[in-house]
Amino acid sequence: MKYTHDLDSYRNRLGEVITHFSELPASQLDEFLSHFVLEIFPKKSVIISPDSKDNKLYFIVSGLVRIYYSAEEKEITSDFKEENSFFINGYTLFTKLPNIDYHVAMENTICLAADYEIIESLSKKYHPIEHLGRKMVEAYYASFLLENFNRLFLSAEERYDVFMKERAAITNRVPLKFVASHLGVTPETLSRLRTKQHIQK
Amino acid sequence: MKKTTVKIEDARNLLKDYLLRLAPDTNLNELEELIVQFTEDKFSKKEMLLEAGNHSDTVYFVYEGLVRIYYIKEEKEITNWFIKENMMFAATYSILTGEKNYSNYETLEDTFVLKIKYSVLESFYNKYHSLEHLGRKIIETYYGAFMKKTFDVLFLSADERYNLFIKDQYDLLNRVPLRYIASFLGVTQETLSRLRAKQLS
Repeated sequence: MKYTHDLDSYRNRLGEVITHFSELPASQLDEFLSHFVLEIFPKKSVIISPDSKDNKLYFIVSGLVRIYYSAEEKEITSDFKEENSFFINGYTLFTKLPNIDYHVAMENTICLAADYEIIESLSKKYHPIEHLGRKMVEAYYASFLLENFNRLFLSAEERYDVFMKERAAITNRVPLKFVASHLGVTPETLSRLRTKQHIQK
Repeated sequence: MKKTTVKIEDARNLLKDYLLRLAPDTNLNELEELIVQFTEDKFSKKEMLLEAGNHSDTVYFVYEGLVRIYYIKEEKEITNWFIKENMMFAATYSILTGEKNYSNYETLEDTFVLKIKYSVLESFYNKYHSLEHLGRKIIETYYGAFMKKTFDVLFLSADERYNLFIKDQYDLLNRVPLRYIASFLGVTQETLSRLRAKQLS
């Protein structure tokens, strides 16, 4: 039997997640959610690429997305996005410059997506949706700044500990070379850190 | 006494134009109401405005002068931003994450700023829809600038970074000691001299 998607339950989940940022009046929440449609990305598909004009807000219902860029012929994984998180073509949206990174589905990934222009027009129409938007941008900027802080001031071991505390499950879902790249260490260093942690437990 | 009053008026006008460029649809009456909440402050050359290790919730707009933002890593000063007239700055990391700020903010010239508490800004965001939109645009702009800086370091050669710098901020070459510019560009002072000589020839 073919798997059917329960769009209403996906939208309800999105509604619950945005409540963590800000609460919307019921009618505005319904209107907001009604603009999100299903987008399904098979494993390995490229969702956003450099120079992509993609202009949507994505919410991950299930699956996993890896964000990476290539510099000096090396792939650097900047982040992973899991269930119940959002991603956008942020570089292009916020700098108005051509994009430079890739968003790739690491598993079969089910998203809800809405055009960013529609989100902008809803923000203009309703103050609570504008408030939600500001809170979300601030929260994502805050995590970008924290990530940057960790990269600047924490040792490889400390970065690994932070990652395992917050996102250990990802290590079972993606090849470890991507985790190593995200942490800014070689795969060998990552293996060593993993062994060490294992022994200490 | 009279002179200072004129100055704060000029500074508020400059700030108004600056904010309207970020969000042209901002309601003018609401904007005026916000702008008079900004108060003035003056700093002499080589004064520490904000020191690493503290919390800060103040947002600044530079009317006159120049501020260098740097952090110390392994006993070395790394300059990451220059903020000159008609630019805003804040300890965004501290404001958005609630953690202690890790950068130092030092004036390189006598500096006249307008300032406001972030909590006061937020109270105006909550009060007025168009100001909340403006608030989101401010965050998006600074988020974008931070992303661009991060990627420029990764994707551009020292030559390209230098050319970009003199294109955007030529005046700073005469306002900032070259060792800070070298640090900002991530090159040694010798490399910077070579790049300058090359450009002059």
